[in-house]
Formats: sequence, C-alpha cells, structure tokens
Amino acid sequence: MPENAIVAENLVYRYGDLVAVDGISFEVAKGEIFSFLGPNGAGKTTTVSMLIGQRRPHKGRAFLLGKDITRETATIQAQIGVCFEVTNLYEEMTGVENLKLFARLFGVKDLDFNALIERVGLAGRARDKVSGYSKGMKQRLMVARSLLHQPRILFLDEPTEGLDPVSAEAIRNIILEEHERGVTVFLTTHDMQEADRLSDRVAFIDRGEIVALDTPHNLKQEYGQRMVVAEVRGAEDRLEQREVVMDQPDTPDELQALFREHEVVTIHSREATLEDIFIEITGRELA
Amino acid sequence: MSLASRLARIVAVIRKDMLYSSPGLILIFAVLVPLIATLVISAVVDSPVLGEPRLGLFDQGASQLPERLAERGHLTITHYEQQDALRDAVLRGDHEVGAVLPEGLDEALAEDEEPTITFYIWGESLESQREIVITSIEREARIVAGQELPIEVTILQPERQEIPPWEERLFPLVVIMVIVYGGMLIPATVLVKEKQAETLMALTATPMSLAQLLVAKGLAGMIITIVMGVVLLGINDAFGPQPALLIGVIILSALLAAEMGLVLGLFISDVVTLYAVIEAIGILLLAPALFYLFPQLPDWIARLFPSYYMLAPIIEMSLHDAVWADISGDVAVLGGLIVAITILGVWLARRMGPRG
Repeated sequence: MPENAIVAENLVYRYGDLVAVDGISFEVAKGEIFSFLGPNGAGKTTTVSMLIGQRRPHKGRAFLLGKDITRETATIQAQIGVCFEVTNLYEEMTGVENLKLFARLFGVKDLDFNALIERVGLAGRARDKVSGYSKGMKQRLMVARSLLHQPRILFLDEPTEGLDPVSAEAIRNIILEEHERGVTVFLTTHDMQEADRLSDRVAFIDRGEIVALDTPHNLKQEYGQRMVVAEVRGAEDRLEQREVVMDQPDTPDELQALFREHEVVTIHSREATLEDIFIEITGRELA
Repeated sequence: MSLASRLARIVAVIRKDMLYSSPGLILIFAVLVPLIATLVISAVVDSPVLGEPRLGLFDQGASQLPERLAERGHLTITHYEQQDALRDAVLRGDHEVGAVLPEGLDEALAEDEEPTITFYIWGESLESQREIVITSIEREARIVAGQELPIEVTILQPERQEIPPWEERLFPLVVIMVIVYGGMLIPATVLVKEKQAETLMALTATPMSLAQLLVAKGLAGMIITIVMGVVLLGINDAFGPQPALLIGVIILSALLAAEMGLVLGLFISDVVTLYAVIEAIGILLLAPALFYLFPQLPDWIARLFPSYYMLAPIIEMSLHDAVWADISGDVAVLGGLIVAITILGVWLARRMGPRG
C-alpha cells in the first residue's frame, strides 16, 4: 500500500450556522495527482485552507507527510507549495522581487530565479512590476512562487480558471512535470476536462460532503454510459442527431437499424464526461 | 525552526514593508508632516510674528533716545553707521522700522522745535509691531522734551511664568503625531493592506507564523517612530538630563503605539474603514497634546487618555528635565497598557487562525 501524503479525517468547518465542510475524509498517496471537484461554494477552498494550516478544523484532523497540520504547522508549511485561487501577489513589486521575498521566507538560498522564471514562461518580464502583468502572467508567477522551495506537496486552487489557452496549457504542463518529479499534487478545480486529463483520482464534493471518489476511469465505468453519436440526413436534407447507448443487449440491432434506415453522415463514440457523472450523482451542474 | 531563520523572515517582511508597502504614506505621515511641523514651528517662533519688534537706528548726532529705548527692554535694536545701510536692511525685512535720528535731536526737542525723524517701514511687517516701535520712540521723545506724560503705563503679566513659550507648547503635538502616525498608523495600514490584497494568506502559507508576521509589522512602525523621535529631539536639542532613559521611554511608547495599530489592523479588513476609524479616534489620540498647547486645561483630564502615557514621560524628560523618579508612575501605567494590549492582540491573532 503506498504511503499517504495527505490524510483527512472527518474534517468539519462552519461559518456561523453554515456547515461549509461536513465531515469529509480521504487519503492522497505520495506522488498522486488528486483532484477535488465541485461547484463554487461546495467547500473546496475551505478544505484546502484547513489542509494548509490556515484554518483550524472545528472537528476532525488532517495529516500531511505524517504530521498533524495543527500541531506542526511551520514544519509542514516548509514542505508544501500553495497556489491560491485569488491573485495575491505584491503588485508594486516586480516578478523577481516577489519570488525573492518568498525565497527568503522559505529560507531558500541558492535558487536560480532566471531558470524558474523561464520555466513558467515569464522570461523578459521578470523585472517588470506585477501590476502590469496580464491575468495569465500573474497566475504563472503564482505557480512559480509555489514551486520555488521544491515542495513535496503542491496545492493548486483553480490554477487555470479564466486563463487564455496558452497560459492554461503551460500550467498544466508544469503540473505534469512536478508529478514526474514525484510531487503530490492536490488540484482544486471545477474544470472537469482538466481534472480528467491530469488526475490519478478525483473526489466530487457537493455541499461540504464527498459524494464520490475514485479514478476518472472507474467513475465513468460506474456511473457513465458509453454512446455512439451519429449525424444522419433527415427530412428536407437537414442533419439530425441520433444516439445509441452502448453495452446494452439490443445495441447491435439498434446500430444496424441506424445504418439501414438513415443516411449516416458522421459517426463517433462518446464516453461520459466527469461533468455528466457529477450531474448524475448530485443532480446539480458544476458552474 | 531556528531563531536565525525566524529573524531572517521578520527582517524580510520589514524590508518589504519599508520599501514597497505604501512608502508614500510612511513618508507623508510619519516623516514629512512632523519634520515640516517642527521646522515651521521653529521658523514661526523665531520670526517677527511672535518675537520682539525690531528697530534699526541711524543716529546722526548723539541722542539719548537709543539708550532710553534700550532701557525699556521690549525692542530689539540694531545700530547703523550709514543711512543707506539702514534703508537696505529694512527693505530686506531685517527690521519692522528703521529710524533716522537727526543731529541735534535732543536739543531741538528741549526747545520745542518739532524736529523731523525719518522712518523707513518694512511693508510686510505687522501694523501692531510698527505701532509699538513708533509709539515707544514718541514716548521717549516726549520725556526728552521735558513733557509730562498724560498717563503712566504699567504692564502686568499675570502668571506669565507659568505659561511656557509656544515652541514648548507645540512640541508635544509633533511628538504625538510621530507616535500615532508612525507607530500606530503604519502597522495598521500595512496589515490591513495585506488582508485586503489577500497577500496575508500567501505569507501565512509559508513557515512564517502569524505571530512573526505581526512582530514584523509592528517593528516597521516602531523603527520609524524611534528614528523620527530621535531626529526631532536632535533638531530641538531636547534630549534632557538622561538621554538613554529618554530613548528607552520612546521605545516603550512606540511599542504601545505599534500594538494599538496591530489590534486595529486585526479588527479592520479594509483601508477605507481603517482611515475612517483613525479619523474618528484621531482627536482622542492627539488630545493629550492639546493639554500642553493650552496649559490652563486641567491636567487630570489628559491622564484619562491612554496616549497621554506615551507622550507625557517623553515631554517631561525632554523639555522639563524630568528624571526617572518624576516619570516612573506614568511609565508604569505605560507598561500596564502594553501588557493589556498584548493580551488583547494575542487573543485576536489566535482567533484569526491556528498559528497565532
């Protein structure tokens, strides 16, 4: 059994009467990419803030790298990197000044800032003030900040939200590179395609509770339906869509009938997406 | 975590706050305002607005008027050997009035000949100052002429010695500005700005604890206050008989101010609200200085304000040559306030997160 990087035991957090996180438990293995999926307000960010030691759980415990986060906070924080959902950089400082400040706070002495900046695609803009950066550039800088001390666990809260495709892809590649390095990645997102592509396992969180947790493949197997989707020529030459559910006893007959009775223009198979599964489980959409 | 690494983190945050987190604000409220105020007070106190009327004299003969005027003691008199030099000095504003006394003035007065005295008047002088000079000359001229004065003026200044000069009355206002704006406003502002920009979240996700972060914020304000305090004492040559003790008292006052600023910063979540609160309570913080400005006000009321205990020991030592025995009571209260605010601050910080 692999050693766990993160263990959450029955975590509870309330804002007044509102229970934001309601007794969730899970484990994340070392080197795993674990995605926490759910709509806004589901309790994702609150869970992360408990795991990184910024909120004390009202109930339950969390262990990172075998240590209780509420007891050995500073020791654990020296080994984790956090990229927040909100942009929280010092706008009046340059990119490299932001990194140098946090390098001092983490006690990092021999960091090649140029290499790090180049890695996140900010070469040439490192000595500009952050206030002049685009949202994508700021997000890349925040990712760089979370990496500068070579953390063993990386928390990324909606790292690609609202970014242009190039910036989003650059950040996804960095996540995969860190995974290759053996870093545990805790990814919080409501981008199901991203989670599907990157994650070893995903947890669906809704109204503060984990409603499903498994690999994307297993979730699709358990909850999703495979389909064949075809475009056929209908009345007055209009294109119409037909769907045939796979893995059913009458699937072969339905497919034969599709070709026999219609002029098929296009045809392809379609797997259930994580979003379909989330809707099926919770009855709610993600956005 | 070693002490050295904790100190390194604190220094990094202080450096960041000093260099980047609102240097404009720091410059204006904690440095420029008190410095300018001090220089303005010095200039005003030394200026003709509040000083003795200044008379320039060119005596073409050997009149007894200059000597008699000097004996009166309420004019600053300068003598000139040339009429042109006197005129130029008045043009420059060196004197409110320049007077040219003609040869044989005393004899002419004695013989009731109505001699002419030429006056040069500096155009920017106050009329009251000019009137004092001219009336004084007219009065002495009457005496030299042997005329009896219709009235005898005796000037009495009740309790004159109990009212300190203006520079002493205004100095506490400058000192309390440094303490409030430097010691209190800077930590409060930098902390609230971190909360508002959510950079506080990023800082506390590092091995730096919230307690270390608050120490750094407080120290930033304290350093500015202590440096400015020493500079102001230097400008005013007011280190008193025990300079080391005085600096120690300044450090304690700066500590209390910084703690009050941090408590404000922990309570308040945005800069607009912070400035509104500072505006609202500002008069209460500055109030003890008003009791120095208007010494007729009863001293016991000033003691009701916590900021009195930050200000009074400094002022008593720097201006009134007080020693430890004179200020120990107020310093004890100051220490008590520091302990109380520390307890409040720790409680608030613990409410903010598990790392207080």
